[in-house]
Amino acid sequence: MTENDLIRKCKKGNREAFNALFSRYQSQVINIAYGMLSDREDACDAAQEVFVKVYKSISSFNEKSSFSTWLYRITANTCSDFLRKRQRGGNVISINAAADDGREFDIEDENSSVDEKMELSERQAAVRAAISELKEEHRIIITLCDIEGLGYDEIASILKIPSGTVKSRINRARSALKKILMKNRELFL
Amino acid sequence: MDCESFGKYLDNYESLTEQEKSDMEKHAAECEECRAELDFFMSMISTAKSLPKIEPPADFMDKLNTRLDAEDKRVVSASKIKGHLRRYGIQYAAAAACLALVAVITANRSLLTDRMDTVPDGIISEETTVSDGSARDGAQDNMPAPSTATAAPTVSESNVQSSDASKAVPAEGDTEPTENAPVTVARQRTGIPRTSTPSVPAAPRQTSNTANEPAPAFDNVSIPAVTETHVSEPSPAEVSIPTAEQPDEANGAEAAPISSTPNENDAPVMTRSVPDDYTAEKPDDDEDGYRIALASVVNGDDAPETYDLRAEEVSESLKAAEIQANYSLAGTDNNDIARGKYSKLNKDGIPIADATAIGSIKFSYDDEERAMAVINSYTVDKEDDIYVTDSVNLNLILSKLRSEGIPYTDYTIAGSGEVKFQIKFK
Repeated sequence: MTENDLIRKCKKGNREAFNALFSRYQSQVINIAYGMLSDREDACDAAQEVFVKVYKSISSFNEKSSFSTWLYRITANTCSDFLRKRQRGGNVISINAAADDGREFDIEDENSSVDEKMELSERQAAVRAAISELKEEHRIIITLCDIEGLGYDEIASILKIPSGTVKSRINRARSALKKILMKNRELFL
Repeated sequence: MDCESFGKYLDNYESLTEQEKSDMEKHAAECEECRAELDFFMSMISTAKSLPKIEPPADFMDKLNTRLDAEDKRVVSASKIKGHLRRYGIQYAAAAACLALVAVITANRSLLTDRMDTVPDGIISEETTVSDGSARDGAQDNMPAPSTATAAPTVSESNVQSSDASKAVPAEGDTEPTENAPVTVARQRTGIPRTSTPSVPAAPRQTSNTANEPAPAFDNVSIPAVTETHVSEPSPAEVSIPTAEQPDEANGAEAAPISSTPNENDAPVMTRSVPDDYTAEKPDDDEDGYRIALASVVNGDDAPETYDLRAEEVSESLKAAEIQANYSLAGTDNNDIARGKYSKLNKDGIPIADATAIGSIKFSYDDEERAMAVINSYTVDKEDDIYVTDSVNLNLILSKLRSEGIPYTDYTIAGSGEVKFQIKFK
């Protein structure tokens, strides 16, 4: 069944269609949320929240943009809410990125030596931790562009900003990331 | 290319052309320091791109379906409640009104019985000032002498629920009631004029011929609002009755006839349930306390947008009603929207209206394309129609505009650090 068919059925309140649609996107939504929130549990909670919002407001999706754009925009907004609440509550999330990421590093490159894998894992942990120190708009742009690999136009639609601004924001976000990573510079040389 | 340009190029790497990237490579091949910078940068990006994905938990969809079931139930019960209210709304309103009346009578019961106990002939005629459950003490010395005293026995009212003595002492010469004056409860059970110590605000107006007119009991009792309404703190001038600690002095006061009809200039009456001043509910210097509502608002056919709302003046209820009527709330656990004026906050939680002044750079329409090309070639963020960059960058933009012969007017960079500006064409 095509995505459009699923959406049509969702608009009629068909729960099976929702399940099919959400199953397709659950991984992407959780990973965007993980990029933004740097915490596995929060990312899953945020993803749940996203899908509940979609469930409640699917009738307002008028298909001008693609479903994924609409969905990722809701994801970005929901994660912003989470970040603000976290900030307000004074909660500090301890980043255990090494533990999270390390579990899967060997899937990526089977030809690497153990040392290389360890180094990559350390770098990944450092980058994940550094992203969590970025300000909100930089986190989302790094997540969408570098981690999720979305194109400028899609990012521009998700964030409702001009494509030119996407580039300049990526530049600023990377500069900020580089600054934070200076303390771990030796890992990257 | 020199090292300085190399650094600038690196900061704008995503915006570079292939030729510019190639120029950077050439410089890096000759300069060890810049080579290291480039390697560090590229390694950082490739690591970000390589960050492993996480897998959804096995029970993710099950949990989600449980939540969606709950959501369905909530929507059904909400619509049931709405239907029920539509059908029985008037009955509920009538019941609520009765309850409110009972509450007022109960609240004033002790006032009534105390008087019965202390007045030998069972006659009660005095004014009692009640303000939101706490009457204010008054210093009898400061009360003006009534101008038309009669010879009837004096009964002094001393039934005060609670008071703050420091606030209770009226300032000398302060005799005019203010808008926020406490509510006056006028009662009279007989037609016989009698005297008591009058309330300060009412005294000047209570010297006329109304003494013999019986007034219906509680005819101007202010019912405390059921919702978040407070009558603000009365000023000293509003304080009127003797305190419980001063009954004897009060008894000796010169008498005045009782006002038994409400005066339109008197203290607030029943119709006023939402006071203008709501300062009593504002927490001091606690910005979080102001931020009472965080709601994701589903706006038309767009994705839910987040409005971080801050209540500034709780008396302005219209805006919240508007929001509740026009948007469906889809927030999580902070959905409550209270009465108030809301302002959208920026990312730092500062109301946008309070943010730094934003200047405008004006161009001719003829130069629109060229001007935007220059601006977009620098690192500039855009938030709605506001551009954000730093003062150094903006200086570079302005000098580039000048060197390209693109005229602009009316703009001077104020200060250093982050600057915001708008672009206008004329």
